[in-house]
Amino acid sequence: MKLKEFIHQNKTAIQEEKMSSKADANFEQLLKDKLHQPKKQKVVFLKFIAVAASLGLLIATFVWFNNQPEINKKQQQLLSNLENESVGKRLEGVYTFNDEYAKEDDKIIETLLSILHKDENTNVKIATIDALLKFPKNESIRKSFIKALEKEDVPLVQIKLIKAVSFLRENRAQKSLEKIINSEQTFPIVKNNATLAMAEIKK
Amino acid sequence: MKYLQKITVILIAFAFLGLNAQEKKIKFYKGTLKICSSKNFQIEGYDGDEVIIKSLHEKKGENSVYVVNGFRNNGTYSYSNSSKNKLARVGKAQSISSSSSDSIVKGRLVFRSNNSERKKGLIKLGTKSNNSDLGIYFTIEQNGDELLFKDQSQVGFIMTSNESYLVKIPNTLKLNWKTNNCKDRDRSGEYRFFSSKNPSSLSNFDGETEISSSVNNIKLKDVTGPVVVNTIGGNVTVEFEKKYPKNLYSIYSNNGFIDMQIPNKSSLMVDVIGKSVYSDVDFKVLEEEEVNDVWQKTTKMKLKFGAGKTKMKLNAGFGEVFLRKK
Amino acid sequence: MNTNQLIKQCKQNNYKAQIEVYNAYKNMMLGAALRILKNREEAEDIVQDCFIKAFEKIHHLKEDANLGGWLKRIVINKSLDIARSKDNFIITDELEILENEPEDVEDEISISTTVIDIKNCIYKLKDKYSTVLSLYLIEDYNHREIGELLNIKESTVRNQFRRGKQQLLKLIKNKEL
Repeated sequence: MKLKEFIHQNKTAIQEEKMSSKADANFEQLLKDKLHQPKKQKVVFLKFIAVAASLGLLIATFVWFNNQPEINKKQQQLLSNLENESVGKRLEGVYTFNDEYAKEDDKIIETLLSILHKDENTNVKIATIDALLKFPKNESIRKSFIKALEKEDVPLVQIKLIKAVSFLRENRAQKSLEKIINSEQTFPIVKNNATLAMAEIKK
Repeated sequence: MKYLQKITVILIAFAFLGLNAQEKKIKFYKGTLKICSSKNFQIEGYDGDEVIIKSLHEKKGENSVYVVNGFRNNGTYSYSNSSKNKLARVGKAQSISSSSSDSIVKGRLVFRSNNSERKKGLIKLGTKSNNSDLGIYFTIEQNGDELLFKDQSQVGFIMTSNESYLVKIPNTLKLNWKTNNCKDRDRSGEYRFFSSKNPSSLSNFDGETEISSSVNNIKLKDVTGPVVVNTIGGNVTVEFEKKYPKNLYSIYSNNGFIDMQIPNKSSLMVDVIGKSVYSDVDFKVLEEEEVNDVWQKTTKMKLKFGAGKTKMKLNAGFGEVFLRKK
Repeated sequence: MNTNQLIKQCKQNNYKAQIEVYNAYKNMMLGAALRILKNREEAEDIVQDCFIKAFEKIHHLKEDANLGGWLKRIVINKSLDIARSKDNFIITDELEILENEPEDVEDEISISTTVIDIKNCIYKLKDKYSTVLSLYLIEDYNHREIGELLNIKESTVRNQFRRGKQQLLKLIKNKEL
């Protein structure tokens, strides 16, 4: 018979391989080490960590001081882009933050939050929401999303915000979503999205 | 002698034609052209210092037809009224604003008045110039470094209109084009827009472009960028014939499709999100993910073409994305 | 637990669920890695690393996703990365011009050929052929997908497959004799 047929017929046999029991035991240990570090072990290692940490801290401080001008430069460049008059420049700034910077930098996040509430351009706002979604645990970002939901009236941005709170499973957004669903001024397509988000959050 | 006469006649004829070309020229080459209108515009960039507007449709007579057409079945119909007599005409029409899933139906009263006799010899006061004698049915305002085209406020209608304008703008301008009246809603919560079969288009333009549409389709040709487009249900088509993209393109759509040509010379880093992405271009697929757009699966990809210099951020939401070889 | 529940539990870093997933898919993953790397120890290491990486990334996965397919993709990508860093694994589109056209060997396998024979012959092939063949015949990827995985043109994949198949058939024939 032909090669393809043969292989097809005997596929299971051909594919069959067995992981050695030594490897299995090894994996259990590996899994525990990497993903299930119990607290007891941490306490034992603390002494060693303390010494290493203080050394590390010294070195890190030096490195930090050296890098400060560089980080600051990048930060300054980003900030100036984000506050630029031209839409293209602001948008470039947000995209650069998303693609290259992406650090939980307080000053930049503050600027991004202000863009979220005040910018005139829809694309800039949507890109900013994407940027802020990179920090789901940040409490002030979550609160800002809820606040923005109440104030926003541009449909595309509303939809993006609705998707954002749904992704974050943000229960406190339910009130704002309800307002959107009940308001006569909302576009039907936004209402649909809000209804679906409510269902998603309530799960 | 006869020869000279012939030429003179021809020259005069041309001059006459020139006058009758119904063009409005505005000296404006620094700043932003802001358009708040859902009418059909074919905008072309050029190297010059004037904004030139030409209407491509037949002029309407004074107080003549306003045709109201509905897009949904029950209750809407054509209503046209041309009034020559002096009495105010009152008519009733139902207006429905719609795109695929939106619809609001409200009843409206329409008032028509005809005071053409009284207007004779008088000019309309105010900065909002009235150019209806040139077949231009939107207002033009100039405030410092902003030139504004705005739809005249109408009662809430959708109008299928054959109005179409050719506008030539200097490449040194910025363009901010919103296909609504520049306020997303008025107090009564209605949305009004005109609709026409052909997409509005922008071509051969080098300045910074912002376009915002709800359901109108847009065609961009030879626009080098930066281009910032957002639309809810409109489709965005991008072509490149003589130029290629040099600056950022950012397109967000909720469910309209994005169809873009990729010219060979370009150097692009494309981040694309859409229901699916179709292409015949030799991209290098750097990343590929199936994302949950919260309640639907969409495709998210990072594609590199050439050296990957210019950023393209294309997000068609639930719509599809087509990337074509030139 | 069914697959959906397994995924859900793994997202919550549940140890038992993770071990269950490991046991369910470890042999499949080992096969895929082994066919590319041809070294058992190395393959076992890679598979385990891939599981850990998968559990770290599993929050991206939707609960009704194809877990097996996703895991297989991860291990194949990782194995290819490693294989590429070795010298004898280079497939580029330019190779097309340099290689001679082999004579056509008959595509007929005699009844006496065993599964083990086939397996050994595939392993004996040069890496570039064995990889393309196993990805196509055993892992069930199509030529286009293989091109994407290896970053080469689909036409190159077809050619490598054709040549690889010829080589394989030759080896099998020699074994039969």
